[in-house]
Amino acid sequence: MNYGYFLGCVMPAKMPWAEKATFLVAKHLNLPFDYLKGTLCCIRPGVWKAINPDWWLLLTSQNLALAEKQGVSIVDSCNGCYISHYECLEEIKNNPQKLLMVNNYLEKIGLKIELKVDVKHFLEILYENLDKIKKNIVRPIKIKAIRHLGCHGRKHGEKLPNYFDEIIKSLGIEIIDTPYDRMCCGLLLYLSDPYTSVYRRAGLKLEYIEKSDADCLIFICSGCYDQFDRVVRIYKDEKGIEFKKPIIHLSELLALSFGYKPEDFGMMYYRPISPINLINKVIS
Amino acid sequence: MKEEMKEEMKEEKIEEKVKAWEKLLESGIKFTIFNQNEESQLYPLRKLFRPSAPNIVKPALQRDFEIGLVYPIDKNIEEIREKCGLDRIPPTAHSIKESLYNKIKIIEEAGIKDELMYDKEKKKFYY
Repeated sequence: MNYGYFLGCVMPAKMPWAEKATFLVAKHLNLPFDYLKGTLCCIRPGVWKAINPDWWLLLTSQNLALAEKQGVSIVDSCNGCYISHYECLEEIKNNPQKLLMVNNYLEKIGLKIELKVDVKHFLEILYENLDKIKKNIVRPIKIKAIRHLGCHGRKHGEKLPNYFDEIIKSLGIEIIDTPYDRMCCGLLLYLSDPYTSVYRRAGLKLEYIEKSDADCLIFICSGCYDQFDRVVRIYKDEKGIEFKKPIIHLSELLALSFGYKPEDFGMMYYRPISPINLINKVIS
Repeated sequence: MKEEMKEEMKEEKIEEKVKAWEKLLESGIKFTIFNQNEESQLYPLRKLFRPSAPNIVKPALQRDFEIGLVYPIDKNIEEIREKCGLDRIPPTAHSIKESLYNKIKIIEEAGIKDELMYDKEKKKFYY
């Protein structure tokens, strides 16, 4: 089945370089990969499930129904979107009454779920193609990095964390372990406890990276990026502290390792921390 | 002694403020039509209640109801997207409006809009 890439809210508006790099990588690997079209917010499980689980189920299922209609498997690289779609599908698969409830509403807008849809994380697709990735590396990425997978990537076991590490290592990157590797970025906490969210979660990790030998922070989850982006700006605007180590999406490093130039995916634009030092190190 | 502790706690609280969050909260309050605190002075016997949509999430909810996604694509982002080699507007509900209209229909049919007390015309929450 073809893959329908789910953009979500953050990627198209805040990290277009990652969106472009992801499509360059997918094309380079000859994956049957295109946009899932007409998508909406995933819808954020951390907020909506807390307000009303049936509303979350209902609104999330519109994306699942769109994928079924377009005949594609949903592919998410944001862990929040992945968990939302994955858990919604599991729930309506295992609970016929919920499926009926969802379809009652979807039929009013000309959609229906027949449970033919599948939900995959982008890391799963990359890992299935790991041999192909290794064969396509023309520029090994000789850097040291700290990685941030994000909580929802760990929710269903160690599969995704292992894939994330394996893929990073396959590019030639040396991973630096830290005491904060499993710590939440603080995205959802921001709504209720902004100080802890900013200064005791993402901020703590960014401060650690600054003092370490790492060249950058590698991430995959758009939700976590949203938080890191916000925290970098808050440190700068409210504390006068500027971080120097950039926050880099895994797809960007894959694209660079395949021989693409930073300008092929706009790596320099619209970033909270300039990646120029990293680019110079990788390209040289 | 107690007063000193209170003062210390106050100072700690001041340190703990995140201005960006307070701005977000303020904009959430601006998305509210009726202010319960003001109303309680006019109608002192009226009970205060906790609205389904907290002020801090109202800006994101409002965008979700109007765009279908949490973040809009403005002209500045359109230009950056183009520089990155992408279409100026992504093929999401940002450009495929049918999806947005369908979502709005579900939100209305399921009573979500009413429960969250959202006024479609004013694009604000009653409380």
